[in-house]
Amino acid sequence: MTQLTLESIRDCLDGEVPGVIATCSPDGVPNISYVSQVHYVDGEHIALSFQFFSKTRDNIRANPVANVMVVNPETAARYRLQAQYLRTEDTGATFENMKAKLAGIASHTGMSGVFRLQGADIYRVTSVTAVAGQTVLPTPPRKSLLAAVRTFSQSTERWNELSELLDGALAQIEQQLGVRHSMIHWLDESGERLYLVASRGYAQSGIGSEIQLGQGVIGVAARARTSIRVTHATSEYTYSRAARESVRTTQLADRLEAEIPLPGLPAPGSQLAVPITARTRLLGVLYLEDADESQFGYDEEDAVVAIAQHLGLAAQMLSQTSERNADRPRTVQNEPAPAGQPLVVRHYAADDTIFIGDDYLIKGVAGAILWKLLHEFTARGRSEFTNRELRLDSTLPLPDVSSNLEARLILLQRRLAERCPSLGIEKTGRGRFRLRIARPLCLLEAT
Amino acid sequence: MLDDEICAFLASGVSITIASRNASMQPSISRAKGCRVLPGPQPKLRIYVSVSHAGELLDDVRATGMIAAAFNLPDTHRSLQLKGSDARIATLDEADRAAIDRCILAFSASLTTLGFSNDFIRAFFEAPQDETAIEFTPADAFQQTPGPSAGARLP
Repeated sequence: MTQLTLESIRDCLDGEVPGVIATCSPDGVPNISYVSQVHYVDGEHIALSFQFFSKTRDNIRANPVANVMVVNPETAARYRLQAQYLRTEDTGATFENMKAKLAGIASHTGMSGVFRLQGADIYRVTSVTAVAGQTVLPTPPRKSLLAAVRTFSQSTERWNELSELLDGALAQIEQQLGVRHSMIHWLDESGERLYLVASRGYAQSGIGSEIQLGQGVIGVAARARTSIRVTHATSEYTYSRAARESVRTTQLADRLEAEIPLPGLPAPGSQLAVPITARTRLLGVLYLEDADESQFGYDEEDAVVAIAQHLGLAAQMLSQTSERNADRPRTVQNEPAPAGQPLVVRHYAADDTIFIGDDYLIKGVAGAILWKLLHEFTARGRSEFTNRELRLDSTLPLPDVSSNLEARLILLQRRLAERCPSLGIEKTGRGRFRLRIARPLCLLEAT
Repeated sequence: MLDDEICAFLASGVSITIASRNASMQPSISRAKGCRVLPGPQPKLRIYVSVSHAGELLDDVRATGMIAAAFNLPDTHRSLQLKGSDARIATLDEADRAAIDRCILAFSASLTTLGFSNDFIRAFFEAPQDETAIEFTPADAFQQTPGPSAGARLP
């Protein structure tokens, strides 16, 4: 029989059927206990959820050998894992991943409020053996995940703008992986919040809505820099709740109407949030969700992590080349002069919030950019701009990271398209854009 | 320690998993297919395992007589662990065979309630007719239902 590896049985390590662990005290008394979660860490390690102080814990600390039995929830195949206890982690990627997943398991099994992860007990697996017996033939996979990653990575070569890359990624996730609800959040300049730059599959795009680091599946993935996968519906990590909490703690709590609602399924059965990084820098979070439970396994997680990392590198490369190779301005067509009722644009300097008439449009860096552009237009009649001049503008609170500026412009462009068709931002080439203004402006500095 | 209600629970077709250990304190583990309580002033338990499924556990029971058995009803999470040090292997009789059938039937029903497919359940319980019994006197019983009282010894 071929040697079994931990990788080959990781579908058993997803909490669908509780695992069982046998240990032995130093004076020879065996102990057996159910484990809510046996988690795959890597090809040599598993982590067991530590929720309560127990005999198992006493035993492994004194005699660190264990025998763990797991079951494949689809095929009913059973495996014995000989394992050596190494340590307990209560922070970091494995812990956060297990904590989120356990919240789903707890909710699925009616144990919300009882199951709470205190630590991730890390074990080295020394052998994997199959228990003889009947199994059910596994259903063939619906799609090839490797082919999906290949198609995505090839597509990135044709996308020349960050907006194409972000929208293209979500479109491909639907086409290749069959996941219809997805979104991308970008990390803002403070490094404490994420804002939504692209979404797919929702009635409201939610462009510009924000999530604090550490809140909900998306915020935890960003803070812990790890993919977070939840296989069952759980209210603990749904970000509508996280969003409400985030609203409560922001300065804007007294102006709730100024918050853009987050899109999202009301009760997703499956969630997967994956950090988008370029080398070691966090750019944002790619999030997928499905109404049904158990839609994302370890293989789907690996595929989406590969897609997110490729996306991050592609975004970084685009931002590096876009300014260096900025196109020459195209011939400016004669635009019709702004006409009609004046558009009242109000600016709140404290947080660069912009209202159009009585309606909230945007705040923060994107608000500051719009305010500057509108002033340039009214003061100097300019409507053609380059990314580079904005980035070098010391009055704008932008860090020296051009993909951030690019993402802010996408946000601004999309918010205007959704909320204020009289104003628009149009790309006129790589690293250049034009401000389109259809109505006369009345700019007011609010206090 | 084992009142009538607990004895009924043990034999009612719950998930049963057992552990033993060898001379070098290495634990062994196996699922069991059912159990039966032999009443008396010192009640005994007979737990059934498939020989081909049991791995090293039967050897360890023979060598050390040590056993721990966990009983769990997935619907309610009620869990109990019994321990003994006089475990021995015994051959099956008619009453044992009937107990195995009864336990499998009841546990299958609770897996169906949890949403497992019939194929899964059939495979889960399918085995050659090679069961053997492990008989022991429970010397200790522990509450294992998840929560603050998990681990408490039953009086």
